[in-house]
Amino acid sequence: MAKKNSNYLSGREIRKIAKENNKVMKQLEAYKHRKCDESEYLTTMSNPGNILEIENLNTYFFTEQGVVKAVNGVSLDIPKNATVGIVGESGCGKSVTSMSVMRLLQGPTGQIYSGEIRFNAKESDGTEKVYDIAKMPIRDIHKIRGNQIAMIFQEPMTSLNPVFTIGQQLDEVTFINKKDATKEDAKAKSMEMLNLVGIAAPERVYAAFPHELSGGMRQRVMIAMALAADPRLIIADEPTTALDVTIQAQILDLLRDLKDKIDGSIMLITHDLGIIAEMADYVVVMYAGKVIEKGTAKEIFHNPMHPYTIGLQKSKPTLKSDSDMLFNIPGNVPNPVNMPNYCYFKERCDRCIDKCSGDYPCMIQVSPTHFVSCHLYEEDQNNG
Amino acid sequence: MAEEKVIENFDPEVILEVKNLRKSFPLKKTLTGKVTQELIAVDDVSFQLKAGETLGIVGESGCGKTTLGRAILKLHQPTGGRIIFEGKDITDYNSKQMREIRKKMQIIFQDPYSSLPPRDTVGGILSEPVEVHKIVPKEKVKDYVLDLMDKCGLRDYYYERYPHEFSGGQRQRICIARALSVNPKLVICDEPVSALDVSIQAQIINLLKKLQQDMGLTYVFISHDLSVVKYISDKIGVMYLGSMVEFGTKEDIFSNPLHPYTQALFSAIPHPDPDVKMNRIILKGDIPSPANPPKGCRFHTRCPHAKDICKEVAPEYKDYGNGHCAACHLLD
Amino acid sequence: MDELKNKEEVVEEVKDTEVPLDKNVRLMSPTRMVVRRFFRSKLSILGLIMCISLFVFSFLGPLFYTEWGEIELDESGKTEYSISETTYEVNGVEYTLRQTTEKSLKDNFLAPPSSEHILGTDNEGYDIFVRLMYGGRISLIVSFIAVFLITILGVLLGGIAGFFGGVIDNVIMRLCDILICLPGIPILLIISTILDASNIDAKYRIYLLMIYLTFISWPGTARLVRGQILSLREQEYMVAAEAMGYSTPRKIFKHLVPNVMPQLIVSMSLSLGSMILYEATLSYLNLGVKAPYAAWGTMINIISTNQDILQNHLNVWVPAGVCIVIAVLGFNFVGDGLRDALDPKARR
Repeated sequence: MAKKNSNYLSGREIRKIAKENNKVMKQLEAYKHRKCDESEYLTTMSNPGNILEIENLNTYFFTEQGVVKAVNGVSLDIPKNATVGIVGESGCGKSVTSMSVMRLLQGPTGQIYSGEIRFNAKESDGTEKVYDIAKMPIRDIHKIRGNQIAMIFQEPMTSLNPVFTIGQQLDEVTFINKKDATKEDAKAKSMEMLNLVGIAAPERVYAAFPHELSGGMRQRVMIAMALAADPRLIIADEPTTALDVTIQAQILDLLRDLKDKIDGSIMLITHDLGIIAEMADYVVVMYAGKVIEKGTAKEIFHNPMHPYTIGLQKSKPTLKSDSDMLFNIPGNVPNPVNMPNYCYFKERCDRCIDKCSGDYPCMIQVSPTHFVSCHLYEEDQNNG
Repeated sequence: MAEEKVIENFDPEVILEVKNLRKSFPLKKTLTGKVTQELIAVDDVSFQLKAGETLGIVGESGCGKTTLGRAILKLHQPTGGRIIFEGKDITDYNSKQMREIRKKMQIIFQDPYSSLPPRDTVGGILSEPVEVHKIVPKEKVKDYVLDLMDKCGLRDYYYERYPHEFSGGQRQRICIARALSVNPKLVICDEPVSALDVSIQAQIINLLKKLQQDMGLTYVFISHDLSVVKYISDKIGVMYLGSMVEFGTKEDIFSNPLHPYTQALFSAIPHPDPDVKMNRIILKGDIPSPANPPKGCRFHTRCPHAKDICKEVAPEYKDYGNGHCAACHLLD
Repeated sequence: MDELKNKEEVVEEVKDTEVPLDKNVRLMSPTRMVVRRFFRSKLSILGLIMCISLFVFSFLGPLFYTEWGEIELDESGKTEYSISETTYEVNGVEYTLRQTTEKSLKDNFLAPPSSEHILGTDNEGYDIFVRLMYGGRISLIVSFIAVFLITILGVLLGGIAGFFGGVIDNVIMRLCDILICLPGIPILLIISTILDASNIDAKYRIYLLMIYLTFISWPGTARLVRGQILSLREQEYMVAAEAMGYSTPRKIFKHLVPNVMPQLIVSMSLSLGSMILYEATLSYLNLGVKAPYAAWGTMINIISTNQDILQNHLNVWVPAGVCIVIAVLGFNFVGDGLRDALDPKARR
């Protein structure tokens, strides 16, 4: 049945892909597991006001059907004490970006191919050090993972270990980060965290097992765990997607509240524009592995420029609008294998111009903080 | 076939009537089979639906909306109450009688990945129901299916392909085409867009609306998202812990939500505008377990306006004018 | 105005447009995916080679190597010399008389490997190499039949139990429990005695015994199928099939059973190995194939009667043992490889 279907790869092509992949994967795996001196991955920030700078990051998945460029030349900055929202549809590479920062990609297929992820880490003695996470060997990653950067996952149901109590799991975070912590210290810290995330009966939750808690409670515990290490950056990957609307409202309220209380930045990944609008100071819109527009929340929501951003906002059903039919973007989200070199959104765009068949549009600065990658605005820039 | 009960004085415009529908699942049984603890998934739900209309059912997880949808199709045998479809009481139909009714009522599921059989081509999936129910003569099946695929926005060369080759949106179109292949009158849409991306959601909602106009379908559209329901529904029912807390036309529900839960649901939806700072009603606590619902009004544990009476007496489900029903003590 | 324009666009664009971007993406067909995953493991390739070579050896071998038949004795004769010594004492001097007797025997038994007999002959004078081939035929055919029957019974009963549930499920599963409790070998011994008493032809008794084996082995497959069906019928496409109003046989055989096939194939290839072992055990215990017919187990059984062969004539019994090991390992490797290849969740 395979021979008739033109949608399938032939045996020869598959072997060719596998051969090429294996070569690259071996190299990258060796690089990941190498032993090296710290000086090799120390670097400096281009802007000291940022906590994280991602520059031209390429993260590829070497699958059997070809190289999936899940993150394809992404650049973004996260300033200190700010919330940056990354928004996009499934497969746009928003989660893979966060996984790259945490170095949680599943090897050997998932690899950071090139690019820099500069992270401003605070050592225990209070000095700041800038690491290039992309170059760090995997054995040194414990320096930042968990204590400097913490992550909140989408699935509160499966992110907690079912055989340990909440207390044990929370205490562990403290033990890992403070080598000399006593049991009492750890418990005190855990209770403080549970109080911080608005859990009404912390003693009861401390002694409970994950299955005894509801989804919303578990997500609060996950947030408490992320906060327990006093991280400089919290990555929240779709923190409310698995929750009910009324519980989502609670968690969003909590996160907004925490934003002011903690000394750190939040990288919020979601597909929901509403959540971004409520939470984020800066917004990055991604499509098919590329950043297509970024700016402050006000700029993105009041003056969206890229046709995709505009379409996304229009197609989101809201309670306010009166129209009968929803606006929709035709076509499907592309699978980023064998992408052409013209604009990836061209096929679904309703405002195509001749130039769109040419090279992929570069990032155009339309205001000090607002960037867009679309040919429509190139003229404006040249004139102005 | 068993003797059909024809309901007298039945409004011919009403395609579906649900009367005091109840569905419970046994949780614990004694050795003799006596149920000692049960989960009441749907408790005393009633509504009428006219042909060509769309009823939106909104609620959070565990509110029984999915069970209600499946009980209407008799995929779960209801524990109590009546389901009247096209003037016939189908509650006690056996599986053979139901097989005839099946082609008039269909269902679209939430997850487009698990609801398509993985080892069959799109053509096979779509022609099977047509052949089984003998919708068209055998030699015309392929043309019929291709025509249907065209209506649902599927290209004809998808006929030979397998479901795993498609994205979520395309799979959902296949599911819709499969449901429509038997020319149903009533389609239960069980969260058909929740698993899809925003831009694809809009496509599917528009497709469903267009098909409704073309084929004169009646929908029961189940969703947890009020803003989605708004675009497709004529009437909306809000469910909480198994019972209907508010029911009315779209206009009534949106302009004048009566029940505090409906009001909270409205305010919980994040608005995509950073300048709009809504006065959000944040409900305290979690949704209670449906296996052990609170006494009195089920919502009283989370209700911001709960009074003493709410903890003791369950409120009556009453019509507050023009078919806008709600169950709340505050309204008396 | 804007809304109106949108509305028109919407109606136009309802059709899902296949964009050229999608055309760039080509997938791997499911068959090819399975084949690739299977061949990625060196062990499964080895297993496949082992199985195929055994099949070729057993089924095609006798067609090309026709020098000897399965029950053809080498009657070329053999001269056996025996030396006897007698000691006499005459006048205090010992004399030893060595006497060599030459005995001509009809059969050429226990011949060493030579160009005439590749692996020599056994204690009766049968050609070992040829008997290995015929023994392989019996072992493979018998295990295939047994596995086939086990699968049919297992799918049927497991499928019914899983699909209908309730009382039927309870009855079938308790029957399984009872059968699993039965001690296999003692009952085999009893049955074998009965078969002996009723003068069943030696050629067929092994089939009868394998039918008994089938009877006690199907519960494993039935449990597997039942478990699979229980989880599959909760899948939404099965609810969809119910909502479509399909008949019960259609639901079971068109929608459920094909989805159990992967697990079934794996369990079949694994039980082929164990059936070969069972057959060998039976033959070794002299319950299965009886002389003069060949089976690998019977060929090893020779050592139990003659200690000399165990020590000095390795060529008589080691090849049969090697064949059994190859067959069992081969089927297990293939089974493991298939399990990894057919499980969609296992990435690598």
